[in-house]
Amino acid sequence: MDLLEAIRSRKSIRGYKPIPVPKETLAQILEVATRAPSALNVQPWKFTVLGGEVLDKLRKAIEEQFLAGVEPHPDFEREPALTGIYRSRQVEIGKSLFQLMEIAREDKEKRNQWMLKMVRFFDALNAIIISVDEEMSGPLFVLSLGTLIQTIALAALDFGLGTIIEHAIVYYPEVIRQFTGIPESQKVAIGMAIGYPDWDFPANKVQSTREPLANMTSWHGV
Amino acid sequence: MPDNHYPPSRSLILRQGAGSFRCCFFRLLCYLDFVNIVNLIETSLREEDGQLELLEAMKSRKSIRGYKPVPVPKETIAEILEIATRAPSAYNTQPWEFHVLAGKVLDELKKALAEKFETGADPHPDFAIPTPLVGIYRTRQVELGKSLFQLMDIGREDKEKRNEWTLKMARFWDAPDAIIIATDKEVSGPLLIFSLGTVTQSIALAALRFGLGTCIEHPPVYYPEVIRQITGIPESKKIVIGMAIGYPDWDFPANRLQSTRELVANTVAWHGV
Repeated sequence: MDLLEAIRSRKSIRGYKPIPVPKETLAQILEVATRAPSALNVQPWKFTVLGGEVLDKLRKAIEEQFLAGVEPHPDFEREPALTGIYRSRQVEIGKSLFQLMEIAREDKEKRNQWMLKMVRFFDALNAIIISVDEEMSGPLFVLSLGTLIQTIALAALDFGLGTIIEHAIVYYPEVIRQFTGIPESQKVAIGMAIGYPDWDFPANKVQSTREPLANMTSWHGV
Repeated sequence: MPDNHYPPSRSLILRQGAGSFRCCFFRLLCYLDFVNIVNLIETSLREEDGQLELLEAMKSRKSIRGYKPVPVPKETIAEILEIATRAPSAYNTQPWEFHVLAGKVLDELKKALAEKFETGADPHPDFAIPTPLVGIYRTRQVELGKSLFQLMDIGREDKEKRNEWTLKMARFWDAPDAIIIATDKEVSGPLLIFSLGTVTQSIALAALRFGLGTCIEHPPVYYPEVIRQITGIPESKKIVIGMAIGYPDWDFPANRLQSTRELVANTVAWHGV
C-alpha cells in the first residue's frame, strides 16, 4: 500500500467482520510497528494481544463493570471536559457518528447502546493492549507510545485490517489484569480493537474532518 | 532521482544501468549497509511513479543527524503536514500546533540555543526530561549513545568532541528546516500526548516520500523561553518537541546507524490468539 494513501485513508473502524485475525498477521504488524521511534530508543511498549474466548470474557467483564455504573479509573487518566475548539471537534465527530448510525440526540436507549458498543470495543474479534513499566510513563514516553500506536494503525492497513484506538478498553485496569496477567508494576496505557472492517456498517462511512493547515501552522523564515 | 539510502527498488537499479563505478559502489554500500538482508528481500518494489510502499517506509525510517545544506521547499513541508494531520487524536481534538522554521530565523534560533547550552543552564522543558533510566531502558539508551559515538569517532573521554555533538544536537543537527510542535495547555493530559505522538510519527513517515529525513528531538526545546522569544509562541501553549527535517547527507557517519529493536517475541503476550 502506498504510504501517503495509508496515512490519508486510515480511519477509526467501529464495525468488524466476525473473522479472527491470524496470529502471524498480528505478529508481522507488531514487528514492523516496533520500528517506531522512541525517546532514547527505550521502546517502552509491551503488547498483550487478545482473541477468541479470552477476549469475549474480557469484553463481558468490562461491560458488566460499566453497566454496574462503576466509575472508570484508567491508569492514564481521562481528559477533563474539553472546551472551546477542542469541544467543538469532539461534538462534531460525535454528531457525524450519530447521524450515520441514525441515533437521535433524545434517544437515550440508542445512545446507551452505542456507549456499550464502545465499551465492548465494537465487538472486534481481536484487541491489542499496550502497557508500560510504571517508571516509563512520563510525557516523552507517552509521546513514544503515540508514535507506536499510529504505526500499528497504519501497518494494519497493509493487511486489509482496520483499527480503533480506544481508551474505554482500559477503563478498568484490574479487569484487564485479571484476564491478561499484566502485573501491578505496569500501567495499562491504551487499547486498540483490530479486525477486518465491515464496510457496510454505517459508522465506518464516517469522514472525519481536519482543521485546515493554515489554522494550526506558523511559518518563520520559510 | 536523488541519492537515496532508503532501499532503492530493484527496477530502479536495473534502469539506472551501469552508471558510474562510484554510483554502483555507493549503491552496493547501501545494500551492504542495510544489515537485514531478509528485510531487503521482503521489501516491495517502489513503484516507478514515485510512490513509497508503506511497510518499506516504516522499516527504513530512522533518525537523521546530518543534513545537506539545501532548504526544503515550503510547499513540500505544507504537504507533509497536511497529510500527517490525518493522524488520529483523542476525540478528534487535533491538539497539535506547528511552527516551521528555516532561513535566518532558524539560524538565529540555533545560535541562541547553542549559546544557552554553553552556559550550562539547567534545562526546563515544558514536558519533563525523563528521570535517569534503569535496567533494560538504560541499556538501550547507552547502546544508542555508544553506537553513535562509535560512528562519529567520539572517544568517551573526548570532552571537546562530546560537547560539539551536544551543541549540534541543540542546533537541530544543523538541519535547514525545523518543526516545533506546541499544544494548548488545556489539552496536555496523557491521551492528548498520545495524540501528539501519532502526528509526530506521521510527519516522520510522510517526509520519506519526499526524500527527506527527520529527527524527533527534545533537547532543542529544553529552554522554552528561547523558543518563545524567537517564534512568539505564547505562554498558553506548551512546547512539546522539535523535529529536524531536511535532505539526509548519507555520507554523514551517524546516518549509517542501524538502531536495534527488541524482538517482538520478548514484548508480546498472546491470549486466545
